[in-house]
Amino acid sequence: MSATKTMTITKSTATGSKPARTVIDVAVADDAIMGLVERLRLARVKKTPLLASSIVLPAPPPDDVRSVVIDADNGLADVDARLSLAAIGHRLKQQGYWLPMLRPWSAMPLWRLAMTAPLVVDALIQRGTLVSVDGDVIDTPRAPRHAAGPSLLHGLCARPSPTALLVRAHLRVVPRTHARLVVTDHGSADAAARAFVAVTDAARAVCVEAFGTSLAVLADDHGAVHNDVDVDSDRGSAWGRVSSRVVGSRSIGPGDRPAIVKALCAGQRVIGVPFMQRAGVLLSTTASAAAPSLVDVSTATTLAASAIAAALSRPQESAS
Amino acid sequence: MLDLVRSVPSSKDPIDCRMVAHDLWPRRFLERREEMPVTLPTMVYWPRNDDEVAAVVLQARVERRAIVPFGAGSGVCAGVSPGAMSWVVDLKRLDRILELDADRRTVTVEAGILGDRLEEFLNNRGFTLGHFPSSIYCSTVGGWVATRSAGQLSSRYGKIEDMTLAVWGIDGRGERIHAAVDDMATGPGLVQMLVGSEGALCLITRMKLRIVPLATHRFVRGVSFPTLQQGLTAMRNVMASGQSPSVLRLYDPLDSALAGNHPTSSEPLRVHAGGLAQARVEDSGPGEHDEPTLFDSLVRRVEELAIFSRPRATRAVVGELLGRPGIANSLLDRFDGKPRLVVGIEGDADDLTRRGPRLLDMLKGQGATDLGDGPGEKWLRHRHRVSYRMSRAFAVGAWVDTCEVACGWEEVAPLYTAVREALRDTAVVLCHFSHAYHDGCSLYFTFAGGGTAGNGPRSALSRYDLCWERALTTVRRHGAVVAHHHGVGRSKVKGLRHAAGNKALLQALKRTLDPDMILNPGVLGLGLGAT
Repeated sequence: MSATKTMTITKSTATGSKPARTVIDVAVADDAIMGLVERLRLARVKKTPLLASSIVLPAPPPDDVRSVVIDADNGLADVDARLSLAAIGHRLKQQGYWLPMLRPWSAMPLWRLAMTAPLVVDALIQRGTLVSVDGDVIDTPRAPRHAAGPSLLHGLCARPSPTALLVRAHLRVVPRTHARLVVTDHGSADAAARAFVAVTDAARAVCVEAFGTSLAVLADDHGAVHNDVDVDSDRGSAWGRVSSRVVGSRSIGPGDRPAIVKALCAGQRVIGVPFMQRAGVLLSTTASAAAPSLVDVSTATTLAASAIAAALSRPQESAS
Repeated sequence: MLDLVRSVPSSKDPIDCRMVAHDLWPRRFLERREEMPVTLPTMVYWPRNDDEVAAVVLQARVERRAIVPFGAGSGVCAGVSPGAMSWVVDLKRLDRILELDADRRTVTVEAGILGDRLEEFLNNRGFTLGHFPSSIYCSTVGGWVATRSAGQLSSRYGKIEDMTLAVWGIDGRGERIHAAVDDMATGPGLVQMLVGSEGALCLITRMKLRIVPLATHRFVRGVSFPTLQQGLTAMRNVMASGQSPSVLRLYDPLDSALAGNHPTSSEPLRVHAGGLAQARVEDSGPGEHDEPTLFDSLVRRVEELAIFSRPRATRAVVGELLGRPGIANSLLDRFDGKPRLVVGIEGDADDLTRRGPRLLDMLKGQGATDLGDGPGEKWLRHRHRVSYRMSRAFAVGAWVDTCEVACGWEEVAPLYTAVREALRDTAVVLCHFSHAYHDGCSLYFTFAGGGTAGNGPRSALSRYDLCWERALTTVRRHGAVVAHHHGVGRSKVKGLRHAAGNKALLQALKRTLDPDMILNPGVLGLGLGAT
C-alpha cells in the first residue's frame, strides 16, 4: 500500500486528564491506513499513551468507488472500515447485494463497531486489514472459515482488549436476486424465539432477526424473487420502533431459546446469521457494552496478552 | 513432588510410552520402516479431572518438563511428537458427557470422549452435533476443537469452531481458564483464540457445543461434469443459492477414473428415510469390506490393463512405479475420467421432495449428467473407513499422505493445477474438493510416491519431504491456507503465514499463558527450544 496523497494530522490540545483527540484527515483508504500507521508509530516512539476511543477516522467521500468493492465469486464485499454499517448497507443495496444483517443498521463506523460488537466480527467479517497499536499493518489470512490455528482476527480487534484497528474488511454479502425478506408475527416472544431457533437450525437463511414478537427472515426463495421491502419501512409494525443505535453485542448459542426470549422481553434485537451458525443480541445502550480498553502503544501486545489471560482466568461464576 | 500428582494414574513403562510416542503422521511410518529409533516420552499421565490436569502442569513447571497433550492419536501433522524429556498427558479418561440442555440446544462434554460415542448419545436423544470427520471412531472431541476439525457435512453444520460455544482448560501456569461466546468479558473472540491452539496455549479439558435436531430424511445424488471448472462453478453456485447441502464433494478426473465408471442414470429421484447425520445407520465405520484406497485403485487399474490378476506382484509393480512418479503420471494422464460430484441434502420428506429435483435441475443446467443415487449411497456406506488401516503402499516401499488446504473460489482451479504441476516428478496426486462454503472450499490432495530405502537423495524419506516442501511452497505462493481441518502441528509450520502483528500477539499470549513454554512446544511454530 502506498501513501500518495498529503495527509493532515491535527491534534487538539489536551485538557486536564483527557487525552488528546487525534483526527486523521485523509482522502482515500490507502492514505488512511498510512496515516494511522504513522500516527501510531509516532506515538510509540514518543511513548505517548493513546486511547482507542480518541482516534477518529473521518468517513470517505460518498462517491469513492473504492470504499465498497464487490467480489462476486466469493460473496464478499471489500469495504472501507471507516464507513458505518448503515452506509455500507445502502451502498450494497445500490450494487444489488444484501448485508446479512437487517435494517436499521448502526451509524457507528465499522472499525469502531468491530471493537464493541464481537458478533459483527464473528459473523460478517471473513478477513481484515488492521493496523496494530504498534503501527504495523496486518492482513489476516484470506480463507473460508478460519482454517489454521487460533483466529487472530478475533483476538486483534475484539474484546477484551483491542490490539489493532480495523481499516478494511471483507464482509460476507448475498446477491439480492438470491434472497427475499419475509416478516412474520408470532404473537409472543416465546413463539418468536421458537421460530428463530427453527430458522437457525435449518442453516439455510442468510439472516434472521427477532424483535418483540415478530421475525424477519432473509432467505432464498423458490423462484429467486426479489423483494425490496426493508423491515423498518413498515412503521405500523414493531420494526418501526427498533433503534439503530447499536453499540455492542452479546453472542449467544444459535439454539439458545431461553436467552432469545429473555432478550426479546427486554426489548432487544436478536440477530442470527444461520449460514454462518452465529447468533447474538444487539445492545443499544452504552451501559451494557464493553468500551474499548486503553491502548498503551509502548506495551500494547504484552498488555493485550495479559488482558486476555486475565479474562480467561476469571472465576466462572462471574461469567454470564 | 506435589501430593496430587502422585495420585494421578501414570506410567513409565516403555510400552505405555510407546503407545503415545507419536500420532499417525505418515512420515513416522516411513521412519519405522527404515528402523529409525522412536523417541519415547519420560512419562505418560492419565488425569481424571481438571484438578489432576492442573497438578501435572504445575509439577511439569517445577521439573521444566514439556507437556504434550494426547487424545486418540489420530492426528496426521505431528501434533503429538514428544521429546525424550517430555511428559504426555493422555486425556482419554476425561470422557464424561456432563450436560445435555435440550432447551438451549447444547451439550457439555469432557475433552477425551471419542467422537462416535458422543454422536451416538445425541442420536439416541433425537439430536446430532453434525460433525463427522472420517476419523469419528478414533478421534476425541477435544482433539477436534484443538485442531479446528471439519466433518464431512461441514457445508451444512459448519466446522467445529462454529459449534463451539465455550471452552474450559488448564493453561501453562496450571490455572483454569474459560471462554464462552455469551460471556461479555471474553465473547466469541477468545473462544476462537483457544479453538485451534493445538495444545500450545492450554490443555482443553471441556467444551460446550451447539447441537441440532436430527433430520429425518436425505436426498443424495451423484452427477458428473464435462470439465473440472464446470464442476467447481456448479459447487459455488449451489452454495450461493441457499440450498445448504450437507455434502458437496467433487472428485478430480483422476480420482473419478480410479473409482470406476458409473453409467448415466434415469432412475427416479428418491428421498430416503434417515438423515445423513446418523453415525451408525450406514455401518460406515471399520469393517471387512473396505473402500479401496488410492493404492488399491491403482493396483486394480494396472491389473485391468495387464489383463491378469496377481495382486501381490501387481502391488510390487505399482510400488516400483510410484518410485518413478514422472512415468506413473504419464501413464495416468491417459485415464480420461469425468469429474464426479456427490451432493446430499437433509430435511423432512416433503421439504426434500421439493428441493431435491430443484437441486438436480440446477446442476443439470450447469452441464451435469445424472448418475443416480449410486455414487452418493456408496460414499455414505464407506465414509468413515479410510482412517482405519495403513495403506498397503507402505508395505511395498511406497508412501501415501494427504494435504488439505483452503482458499477462495477463484483460486481453487489455479491452485489445483499448480500443486499437480509442482509435484509431477515427485508423486502421483489426486484431489477432491469438499467443505464448500459461500466464500471458498477445501482442496484435499492425496499424494502417493515411492523411493529407495535409507536416507539418500532418492530415498522414500527424501522424496516424501521434498513433496511436502513443494506442496507447502505452492500453497503459500497462491495465498491459500495450509490447513483446513487437520491442524498445523509441526509438519506444516513452514507453510504457515503469520503477519508480523499476528505472530507478536500469539507469542505474547503464549508467554503469558505458558510462561515456561512447556505446552506442546513446536506446534504452530510456538515455544521452540524452550524446554
